[in-house]
Amino acid sequence: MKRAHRSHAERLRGCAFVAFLAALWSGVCASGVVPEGQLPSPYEVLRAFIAESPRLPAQALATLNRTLLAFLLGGLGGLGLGLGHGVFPLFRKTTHLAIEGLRPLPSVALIPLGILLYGMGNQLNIAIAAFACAWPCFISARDGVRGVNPMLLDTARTLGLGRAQTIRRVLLPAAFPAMVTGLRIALGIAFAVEVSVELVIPKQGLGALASTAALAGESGLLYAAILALGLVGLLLNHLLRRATQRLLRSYGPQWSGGA
Amino acid sequence: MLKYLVASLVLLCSITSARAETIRIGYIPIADCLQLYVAEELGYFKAQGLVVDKTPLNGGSLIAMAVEGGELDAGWSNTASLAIAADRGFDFAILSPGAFEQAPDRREHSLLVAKNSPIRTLADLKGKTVGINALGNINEIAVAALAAQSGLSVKQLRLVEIPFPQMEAALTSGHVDAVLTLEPFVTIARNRGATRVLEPAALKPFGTRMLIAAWFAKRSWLDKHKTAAAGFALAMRKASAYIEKNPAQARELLTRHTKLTLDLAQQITLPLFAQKVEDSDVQGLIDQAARFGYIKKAFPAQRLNLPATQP
Amino acid sequence: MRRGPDWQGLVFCLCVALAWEVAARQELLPPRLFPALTSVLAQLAEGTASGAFPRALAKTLACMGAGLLAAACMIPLGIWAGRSEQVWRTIGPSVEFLRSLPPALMALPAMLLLGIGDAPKIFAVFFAASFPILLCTMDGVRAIPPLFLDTARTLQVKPSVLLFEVILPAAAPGVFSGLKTALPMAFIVAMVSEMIGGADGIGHLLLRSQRSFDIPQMYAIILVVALTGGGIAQGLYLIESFSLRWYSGWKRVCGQRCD
Repeated sequence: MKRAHRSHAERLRGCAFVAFLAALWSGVCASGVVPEGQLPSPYEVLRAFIAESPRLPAQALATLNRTLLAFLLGGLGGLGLGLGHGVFPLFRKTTHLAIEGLRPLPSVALIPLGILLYGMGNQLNIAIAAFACAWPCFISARDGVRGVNPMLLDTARTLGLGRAQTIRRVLLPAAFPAMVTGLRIALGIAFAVEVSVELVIPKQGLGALASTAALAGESGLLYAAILALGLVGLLLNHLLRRATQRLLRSYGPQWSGGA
Repeated sequence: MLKYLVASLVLLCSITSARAETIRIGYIPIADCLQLYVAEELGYFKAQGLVVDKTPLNGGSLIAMAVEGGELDAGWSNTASLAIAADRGFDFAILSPGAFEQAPDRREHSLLVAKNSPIRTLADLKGKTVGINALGNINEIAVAALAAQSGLSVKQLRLVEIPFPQMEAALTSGHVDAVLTLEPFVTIARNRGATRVLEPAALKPFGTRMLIAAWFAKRSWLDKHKTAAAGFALAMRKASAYIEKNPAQARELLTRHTKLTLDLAQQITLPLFAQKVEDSDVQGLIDQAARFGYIKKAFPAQRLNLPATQP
Repeated sequence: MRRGPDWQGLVFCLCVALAWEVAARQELLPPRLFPALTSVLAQLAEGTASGAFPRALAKTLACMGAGLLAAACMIPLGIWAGRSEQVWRTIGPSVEFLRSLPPALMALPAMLLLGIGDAPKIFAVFFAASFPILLCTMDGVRAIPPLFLDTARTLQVKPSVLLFEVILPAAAPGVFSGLKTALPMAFIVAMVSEMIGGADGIGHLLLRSQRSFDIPQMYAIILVVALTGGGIAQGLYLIESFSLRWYSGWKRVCGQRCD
């Protein structure tokens, strides 16, 4: 892959641009275009980030914890539902319409309803993030199964494989790459929705920290929390890319290489 | 969805079958909930054989939902929310009075403008932007009533939602023309000196003495837990008496339960903590809410009141 | 896709609706928190007839549209980055960091910086929608079959012709896949920003109906939001299949994947 073999010079270019943006930002702050206290300079953000660093990991863990739980629940639920739709046409025909009605529902609209159901504890965040991240898994599992090359199925039939055997030996492995891709999208969504819920109901987590900081006008802390969230997001993305590559190595570069 | 529903039901069941004498309370960690901190620290709950499991939440309506759903037994809510809930058919009753406002020196809600603002009277607010913490609740009703007193309709103002801690900044940066805020933010703003008080008693349309907030529960819960409810009410009354008798100690205690510094806690205007809630403490708010259409119909304050827990 | 009414699906939906109605009427769940479907539908009709729902929805969609329009400036940048590896290497690291931020988060600094009103909402939508549009446009440009570009080069077309008649149409599938991610996200972000600091819009109305204990109205708004989400997805699908007619034909002819 092109991106894997980056020389130092190429990396430097990207870093230089980051530095340029930071300089631009500092310039805006120093010029006084923005009223004081509304936009902290990068230096102030970094200082706040360091000052708050003892407090950040616990909040980051709370966010990550719920993100992963939601991902697990929603991912499994979505995959299960999607496989069910792919494998059992009767099930698909019956529930298809209901699910297509539910799917486009923006998850944040469920926050007030979730409050009624779960109060404001961890469960609320997990349930809403799980709801949101179930759909990409559902779609990818369903389409993964339905897109299996008919030749494979014919081969299985010729070889005399039973229904259960066909599902286990042919359909699941063939749909696997699509399912992994679905899961990768789902983790990003779980993270984004988890933070959105924290913003609306600021109880715990980095999103809550950012929200309370913004409401109290503590812009340094706000940007420190944003920085931390960005780092967590990057980390999640990176780990997932690695995991995908590992899992899909045997499926060839078409699946394992993507950005 | 079903899976979550079942999970939540299981959780609900496991919670309701927990220890007998525990009351699960929802509150907001602010100065108005002072009674709770006093009663807990001075062992008033323990004296009544109660264990209070308190959950800090940051919205009165969330507490109400949790109480209605049975996740909490009782909670703290402002009186307007209680009135609106009653209007929508919720069956909440006041378990114990909370904070009161009383003319002239126990007023904690004020209407502020920027120091150099041209707004001199309430009538000058015509066409201006006013920041309040939550639309459709007690402070919007107050603004509507204040505006009506100077011959304005609330429709002639532009109301926006700003959380209390951000109001002063919104005012001084010119995002809004006036804000309705409360202690400790009134004192903080006064100390900083960038603002001016337009109306020191923003809740005056509701009466010379009014109940700002109360501890409430579902009537069905109260019927089933008469002793616990009476014990809780008694502990709260003792806490109110303590606060009125020992304001300095109470203020000091406040610093341990809220984000207030000691210096600030000594300066702020504390609400009144009265022993008994009268119908007139609530009726003014109900009538104004009905007058401006925030509830469909006025009802007698007695509907919210629970005589059994009164002294 | 099968044409004609989906009887089986409709029957299932009706069964679910009936189960809801019966459960609510029998008060199996806290009745004030779970109103009957009929009262929700009545509330939906009332809110629509009184103009309250359409007004709030129009407000939200207007902010969303403004943000999306701003995000459209990412299409040229995407084309540029797709054509030039250098450009991507320069902006890549910054983009990777910014896009790993949960999209709704940007409403907070925007609120601090731009104050109250529509500006922070529009900014948050712009921020959220920018990155999917940028990245997918870039991928779309990179995926342009070399045959197209070679042909254009052989014919020695003018740069403007190359851009508007070769690159732009050929990258359109990428742009559309970006929009498919960006549009629902923009709707969600617009709603979240209304929920954390707004005075109008459907997101604010939703939270407000929960706060003022108007539970049937809350469910009715959830229905409105779900229908809008579905409408957005469907509308985009129609526009896409109309403007990409050539693409599906081309795919059929070549018999190869080009996404």
